[in-house]
Amino acid sequence: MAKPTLKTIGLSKTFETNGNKVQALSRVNLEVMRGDFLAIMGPSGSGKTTLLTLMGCLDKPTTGRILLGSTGLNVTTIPEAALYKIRRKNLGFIFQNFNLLPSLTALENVELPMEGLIKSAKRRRKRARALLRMLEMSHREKHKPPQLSAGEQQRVAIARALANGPALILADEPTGNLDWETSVSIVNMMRKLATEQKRTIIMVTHDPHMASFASRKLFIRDGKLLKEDPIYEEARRFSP
Amino acid sequence: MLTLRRAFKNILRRRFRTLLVSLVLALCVAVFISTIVGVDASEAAATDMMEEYHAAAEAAVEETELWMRAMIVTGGAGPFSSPPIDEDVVDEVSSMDDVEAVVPMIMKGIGQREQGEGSAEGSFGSNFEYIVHGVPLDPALDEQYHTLPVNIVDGRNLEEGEDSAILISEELTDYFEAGVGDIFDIDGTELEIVGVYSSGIWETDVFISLSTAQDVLSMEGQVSMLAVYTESTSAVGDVADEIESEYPGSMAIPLSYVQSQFGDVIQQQQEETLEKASDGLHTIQNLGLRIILVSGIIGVLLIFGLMFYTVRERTKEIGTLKALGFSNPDIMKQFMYEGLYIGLIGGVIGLAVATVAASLFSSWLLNPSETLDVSVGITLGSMLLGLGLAVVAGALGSLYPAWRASRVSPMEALRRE
Repeated sequence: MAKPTLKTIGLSKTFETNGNKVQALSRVNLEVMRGDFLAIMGPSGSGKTTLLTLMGCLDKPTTGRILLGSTGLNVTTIPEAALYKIRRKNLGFIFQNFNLLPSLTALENVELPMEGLIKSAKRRRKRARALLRMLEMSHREKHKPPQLSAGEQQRVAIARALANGPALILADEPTGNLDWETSVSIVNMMRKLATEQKRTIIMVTHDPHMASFASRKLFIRDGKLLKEDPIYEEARRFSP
Repeated sequence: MLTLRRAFKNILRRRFRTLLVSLVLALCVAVFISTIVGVDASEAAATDMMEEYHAAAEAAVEETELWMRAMIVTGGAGPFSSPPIDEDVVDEVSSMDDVEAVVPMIMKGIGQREQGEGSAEGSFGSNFEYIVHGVPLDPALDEQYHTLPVNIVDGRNLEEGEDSAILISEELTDYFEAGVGDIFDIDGTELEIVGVYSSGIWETDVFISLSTAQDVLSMEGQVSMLAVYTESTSAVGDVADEIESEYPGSMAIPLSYVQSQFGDVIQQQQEETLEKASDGLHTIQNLGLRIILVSGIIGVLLIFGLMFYTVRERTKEIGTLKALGFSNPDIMKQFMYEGLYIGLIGGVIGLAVATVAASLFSSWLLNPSETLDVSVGITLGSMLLGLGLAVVAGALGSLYPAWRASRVSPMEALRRE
């Protein structure tokens, strides 16, 4: 039986602010297989971003474990200062605000994550060009982010997320700043990556329309993961 | 290499800000370099002055020895009012026992100065407009007995056989508004000024040949005084007595007495000048050190302020880099490079400014004392130090902000704006 790309066991996160404790996540158990396009939905403050943060090794859980990759590496035991290596090799990120570096061209932005792993500049360039070609952005490789449209920036961001061939891609509201048409094209692209290239993608969104492109949907409320949310199911039944 | 390139691209993103900070840093560097070269030049000038003093002191010691064996012989009391001496007396005194040499001279005061007109108290406390010295223009005599002034500041000294030439003091060039090449008229006789000497004790004096003085002052076959040099200091008293007894009415005054009146004054003046120059140099060195320190501190604070603000401004970008797999040291390195680049740009511009304006800056900042003749010039060492300051300011100033950047949480990448 194939091992999951990502598995969380009893994942919990508590934040302490001014002496008050806030339980952002409560005993989340989750398995994501290779090629899954998983959408995690929930209202604002439900804990979905916290879950994404922990899965992306951007923060450490209060309790629980995260096992990553086919080897089941327990990333929760790795010191915070060394987590960057895990992120570089195994994870790709797509952000709501694209988060491209404005001083670099589209090509240089895609090359950026490869710096620590691919020594040859020629190889980095070649790989980055191939990714941009795949995302239909070759004609804009010399342009800087301020010269690109929102949709184009998000395509470059996707290419960047794929730079090191990560086991898992995490997308935080990737269509949050895009118009409808562009959003659809981006999410379609992500679906293709999952189905055709067997990339594992976890997308956090509050938009049920975008979530409908995913192969799996999970709902989160008050820090707890639900298989399905009755209100959303009801809304979907009656939506056009 | 990639981090270097990225750092350079980042500082070009905010061109105006980078340029502004670089220009202010450049000013600090220019001030720094100008101060260094100004202090170096002042130290060199002070060293030159001290060497000159020591040489003068050595010459003075030599001179003192000569004065201990000399006396002035006049026809009566005082060099200006005593009757003249026949030139024949020169040979007679020369033939006396223990007499090494006799130098005949004329010394006569011309005109009177009004109260407050130029230097009212002339040589020997006189009130003459100027004093004429007629001396034999004999190079051997001059070398042995210093018959002419030695400190020529313009033109040249008198030469053997020159009957139409005159040497005047620096004070008289101001008084008569005349200089080398001009004509000096003594009672209708025109003489060409060939040289100017630094005043010293002969403050309002002119020097001409003995024969010219005899013509101009109508003293043919006569002199005002004799400078008599004995073979040893112990013979001075005896020779003086012999002269006075041989020529009743004459006065033979040993120069050891005169030297005690004026030699100490000259030495004291030199020591005071030296002390003033030394004090001036210490003031310049202390001031220079403070200026160097302040310009360094300003440079560091400038870069610190800029980089601190830059890190705060780019928190999200830093979070993104961390999310993409950049380590804390990677982030710190990038921001250090950005600070160093700005330091380097400021340093290069500062070098260019200093090359053009070092002399102006150093005289404005340090205001070297009038006793030091300072000539400022940029050296390779000062340029390297200036560039070094800029680079160090860039490194030190960006150290803490870069460390702060490395502590930014990668979760900042997910921050909603």
